[in-house]
Amino acid sequence: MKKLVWLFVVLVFLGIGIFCTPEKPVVTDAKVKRTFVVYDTTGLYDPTDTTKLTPVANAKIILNSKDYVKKYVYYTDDSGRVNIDNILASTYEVNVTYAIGPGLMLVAGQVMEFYDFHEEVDTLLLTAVSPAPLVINEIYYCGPKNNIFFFFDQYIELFNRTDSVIYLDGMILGRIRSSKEIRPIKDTLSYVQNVFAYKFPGNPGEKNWPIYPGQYIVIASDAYDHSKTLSNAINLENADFEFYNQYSGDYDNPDVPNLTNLIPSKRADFLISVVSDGVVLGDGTSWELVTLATEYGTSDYINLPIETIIDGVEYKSGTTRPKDLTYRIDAGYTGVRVTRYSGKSVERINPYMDTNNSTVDFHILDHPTPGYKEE
Amino acid sequence: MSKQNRWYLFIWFAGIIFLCQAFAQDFQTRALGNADLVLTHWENRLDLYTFSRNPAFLIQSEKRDWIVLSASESFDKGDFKRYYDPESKLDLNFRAEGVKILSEKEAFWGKVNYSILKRYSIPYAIELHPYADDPLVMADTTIGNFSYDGPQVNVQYQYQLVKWLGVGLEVFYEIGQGIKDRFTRPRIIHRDFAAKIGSSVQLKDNLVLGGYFDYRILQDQTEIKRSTIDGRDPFVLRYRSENVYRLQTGTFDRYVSLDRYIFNLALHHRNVSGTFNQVARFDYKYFYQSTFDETAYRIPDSDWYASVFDGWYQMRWQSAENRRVFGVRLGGRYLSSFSQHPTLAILITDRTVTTLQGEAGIAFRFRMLKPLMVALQGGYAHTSDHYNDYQSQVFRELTLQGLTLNTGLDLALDPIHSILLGVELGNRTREKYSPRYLPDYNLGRFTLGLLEKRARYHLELYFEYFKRKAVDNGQSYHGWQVALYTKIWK
Repeated sequence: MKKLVWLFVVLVFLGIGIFCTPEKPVVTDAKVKRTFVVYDTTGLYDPTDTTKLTPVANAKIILNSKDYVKKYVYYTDDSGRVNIDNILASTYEVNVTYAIGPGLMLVAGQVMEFYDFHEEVDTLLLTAVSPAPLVINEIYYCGPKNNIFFFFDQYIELFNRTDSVIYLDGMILGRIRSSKEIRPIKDTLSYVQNVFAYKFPGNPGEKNWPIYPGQYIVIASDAYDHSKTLSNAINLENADFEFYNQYSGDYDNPDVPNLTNLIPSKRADFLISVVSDGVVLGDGTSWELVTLATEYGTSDYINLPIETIIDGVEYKSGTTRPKDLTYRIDAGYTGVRVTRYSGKSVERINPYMDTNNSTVDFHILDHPTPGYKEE
Repeated sequence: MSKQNRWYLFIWFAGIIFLCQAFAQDFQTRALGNADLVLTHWENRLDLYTFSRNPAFLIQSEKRDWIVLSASESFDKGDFKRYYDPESKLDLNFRAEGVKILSEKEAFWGKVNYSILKRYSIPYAIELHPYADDPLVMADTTIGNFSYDGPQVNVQYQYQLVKWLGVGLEVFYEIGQGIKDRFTRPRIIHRDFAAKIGSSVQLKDNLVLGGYFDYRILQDQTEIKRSTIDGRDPFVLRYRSENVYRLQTGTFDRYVSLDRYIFNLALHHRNVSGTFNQVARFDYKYFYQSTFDETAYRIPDSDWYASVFDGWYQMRWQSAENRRVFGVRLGGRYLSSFSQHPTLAILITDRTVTTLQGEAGIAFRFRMLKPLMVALQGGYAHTSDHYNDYQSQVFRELTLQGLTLNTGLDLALDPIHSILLGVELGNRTREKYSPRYLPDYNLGRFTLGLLEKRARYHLELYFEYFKRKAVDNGQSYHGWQVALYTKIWK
């Protein structure tokens, strides 16, 4: 009898183990459905439509997963709709573009969570942006191949994509602020906050520093022949401009005009991250120096109003890094898979193309091309 | 012999002894071509202790105190391999193991094992078992060498409460680390703990029922570092399914935590003379694996669950004078597993694997001037694997089949010394492509053992050579193993 009781206890124990295992979910991945309807709210798509709520055919919709290396591209049909089926459950950056014509584009962008497996309809409202006449064409930030942490041959290249002369006088190049304090609210602010801001010589409206149609301008961190330091670094002694911090003992090439520092408390040269960062170009007509308290103490920043920003580009090496530049300036990011000290550079695929989305506008070069476009 | 030569001889002998205390498996069975169904030496006996590792059957199984020292070294290489497999492997293993009968009611068993594993030219995978049952794989973009090492400690204790009821405990602990010599320079810290509580009940004189509950918790912590030497940041690709991954750079710590529960029930029956033994075993295993990154807060990656049902039956019949032995083993395994989204009830993959296996063997002992034992064993295994990868939209249903023929020959040179020879031939077929399984291949294994059996100790020198060759092309994978094994009785 005792033996039978023992046997019964063992079998009950076994049964508990078998029947207490969790249930398998019934909903499977890659089954998310969505329908987008894209409307123009500007009247530019169909000027005859006085409602200013016109469905846009052939608008390009790009879904970039924030969780996985996965991108989907769709185009709307004649009724401005697109049915999306069987995509991964994920959070996506949704970017919509439609080119009205040269120099004018309709865009929309937002971050959306697609975890619902029921049929849902989302409306995307397009607003107009004028692609920048002057664009940031190339950013070389990761440094040459080396093992001494050398990255001082960084540069930013601008390009005049119009058929008229543009004057750089008083324009501002800024390195955006990346922090957990500003990241959640970046899309609601009326400005872009910068940790560094350097100003071209002169003042806005003056006409002393022209950039001609189709011309490339190279702004070096230091206009120096860096190959003297490291053989595979770049010779930038013939750069068009250089960043010069007048508040420190920064290197100054007397033959190259300077962009000067707008934040007196910043004693560092204009250097950007070798992994992840953002650069904006402002017209210089408005800016504000602010002092903010952070968890590391007070610090000075330059706020550039959104409406004064001509162009901006964000880059980051991995998809898991959060986005820091508002989608109103750059709906995407470039530089994924560009690692530190790899000698690579990011450049516009076509310098005349600017959809305000560097994910699609930029590609990665195996080597930098200062002052020219690789054929 | 000069004093210096005697010193060299001592070092050589001590080195051999140490080296050969490696892999402490039953090298006698292995040297006889793994024809285990029909081999009747003590280490290959058929009872609840050897068949289901039930610690509550230790006293019934072990009659004397003994210790085992063994060492082994194996090396294999080749181009017939899967995507993440290394080009070559070198394993060193050292083991000390022993049984102490404490009293009529108590027994103790303990084992200390130390392993050094070298994996050369591993393409991308940052884990020792990238083809484990779970779909998660972490990989980087470099090909490098991995080195793993660490000790294992295992102890068992049995107490016989009454004549018909015994209880047993087992505790296992392992700690080890693995380091890759290329950036991302992952360092894997492996911790493994298991505890087992078992019981055995003598239902009748020749009928024993046993069971145990086994809990195991395993944690692999993988530290990924930024480059500090060549100035590069290689990428880490974190696969949640076959083709869908996240891309990550920089420094981070990933944890894989696995909980395993085993419920075991086993039955052993033998006839009065002990010439007929049969055992049956049923296991239910449940696995839960969570993967996460430990930062200021925990970032979950993915969860994986598996249930495994194992059922096995084995019998062995020996003629009165052990002239003939006949053995059969039948069994099967059913695995059902799935992985899901870390925070939502969304199914990413599911998989069922069913394996059925049958083996039979026969052995003859010839009483000649030099006694000879010949063993022959054949087996067939059929596996069906049904894999649904909803995330990557990969759906596979395939079968695998395997045929194995094991032959062993034990030639006694004199009452003390024997030569053991084994040949194992096999064939594996894969019905459809799957990255998890090798394509069709033939397997050949040749083993040689030199055994010295004295009243107080056994000493065996073991050598093995094997080769796997692809059926469709000339790719092959081959290797060897050498071991020295000593068992000393009190």
